[in-house]
Amino acid sequence: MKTILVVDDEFDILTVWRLLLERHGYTVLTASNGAAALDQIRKTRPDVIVSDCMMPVMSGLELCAALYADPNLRTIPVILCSAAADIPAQQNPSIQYARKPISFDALLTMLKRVSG
Amino acid sequence: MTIHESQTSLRANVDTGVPGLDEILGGGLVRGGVYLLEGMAGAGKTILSSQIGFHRVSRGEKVLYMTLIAESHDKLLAHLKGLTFFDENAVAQQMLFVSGYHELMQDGLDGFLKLIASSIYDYRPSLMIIDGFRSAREFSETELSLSKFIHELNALVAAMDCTTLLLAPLSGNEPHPEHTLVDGLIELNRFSDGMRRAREIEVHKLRARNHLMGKHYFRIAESGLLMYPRLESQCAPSSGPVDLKTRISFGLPHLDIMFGGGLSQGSTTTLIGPSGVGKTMLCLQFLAAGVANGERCLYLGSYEGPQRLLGKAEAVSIPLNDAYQDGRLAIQWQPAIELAVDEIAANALATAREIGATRMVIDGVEGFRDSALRVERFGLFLNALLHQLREAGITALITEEMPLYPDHGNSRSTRVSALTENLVLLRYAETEAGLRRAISIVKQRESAHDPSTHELVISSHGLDVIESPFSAAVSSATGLSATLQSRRPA
Repeated sequence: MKTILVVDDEFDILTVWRLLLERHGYTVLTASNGAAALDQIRKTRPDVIVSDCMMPVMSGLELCAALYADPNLRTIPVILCSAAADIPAQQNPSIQYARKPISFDALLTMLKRVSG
Repeated sequence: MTIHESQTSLRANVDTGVPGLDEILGGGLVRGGVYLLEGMAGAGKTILSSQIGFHRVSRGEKVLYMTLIAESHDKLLAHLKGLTFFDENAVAQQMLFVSGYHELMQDGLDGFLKLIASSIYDYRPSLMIIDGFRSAREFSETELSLSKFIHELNALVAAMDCTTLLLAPLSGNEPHPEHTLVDGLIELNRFSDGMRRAREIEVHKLRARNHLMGKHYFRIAESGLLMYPRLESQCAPSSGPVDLKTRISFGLPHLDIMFGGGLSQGSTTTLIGPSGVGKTMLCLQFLAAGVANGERCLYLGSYEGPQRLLGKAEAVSIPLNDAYQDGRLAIQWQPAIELAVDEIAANALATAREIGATRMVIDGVEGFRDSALRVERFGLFLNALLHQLREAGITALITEEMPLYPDHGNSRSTRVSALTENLVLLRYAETEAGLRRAISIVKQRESAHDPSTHELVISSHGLDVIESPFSAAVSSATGLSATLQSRRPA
């Protein structure tokens, strides 16, 4: 089964996506900011990254930029989630955007779409 | 880069199906929200949550009822069987009962959360009820771990669009995680009023809903909980222009002339006077005039039952029996003993709406006041009721009994007269020929009136208001009698 990395500074979001996605059959990794996510990605390459935008240390936007700048990581599908209605467009054209709060069913649909 | 709102962020309304509750909640619950339903043992938490659960089942949804340390499922179901909302066929199909006790005991709050997540994932309920939530606190090592659990539960049920009710024997609104971290805090309570006990509901907080503040009466019937939003909490300012030109007739030409053509439509009038002076008779005459005019009428009283009332009317040639039989006249009567005035008012307003009543009588307001719970709010309650009648365009008469011998030191008056536009005073006049009935219009706020005292005549032929035939009369007691005098010199 595919591995999903969930990146969010809110602990409850990490817990909930881990519990539900594991129940669905995914392997779930978590990180609480962009920098911790990059460390995690370099150790275990996930199939999909689900990231929040606004986080301390390194934001989701900075994480996307760092991934795009690395040719080895650029192709990992990213779902970028934000409570904001408007966020700066990213260089990586394949990023999928989701408005928070997002339901589990909506997240599953997006995961299936980006990971095949 | 614009990100469009997801369906989840547009939280739908969840109606509870409990009569009166959605009105109190400002529409209903928010889908995916977490609500604490608190109250001491016997407050009605389990019945209320089950009633909401079976209502959602009747809408084709699934409900998960999770128990911690609470009643056994067998006992719970046995108790619910006596209630009409209970649907035996839904149990274990659309309404699933599971226990979370073992996971909580073995793996603490983390294990319990995992069970909830897997249960919701597998079963996909739209509503989850966690009964005995106090156990979650007892298994949490610190306040922080309980806060963390409630945070995670909030996020979990929001992601799964599963509205959640937590049932716990708590009270009030304290700075505890159970109170601060939920989307709504609803308390069921009981209170004593003399030797009586009554039930009340109070919504302490409700996010994203403009709920009714304060306490509201409810009772538990065979059909479940019946709630009655406090009338005082739902009064809105008048909308639209007021019609002061249309006049409503008593069917008594002289009295109509005294009022300048009749009562203003939608006005409220107090008839005040001592016992037996003719207040009820005048009310029955008012209703008969309405029926004769093709209107629908409602009588609300607490002293005389329908048959006595109709018999009394027939005895003075006021024909109301046919109208009562065919529904043009509705009589709502309940003896003045331990009344729930909120329920009576709600039923009266519903009946008035249902039959399209344009006239209403509230006969013997002191009977309602004396047998009401929390009598100190009765004045405000009555004011709110009269406001609703005005808004509905219903012309209303309210009778209030005046003591034969006033005791100024022990007045229990509601001062209804201050709440109504018009005030009619009925008194006994002691004349040389005996007692006569005197009638005067003391005030009519919305137009001019004839302030002179007339005589009210009640006979087997009917009622009449005539100019006073007396040049003088003898007064026997202050406040009791009047001096009848012709407007024209004798």
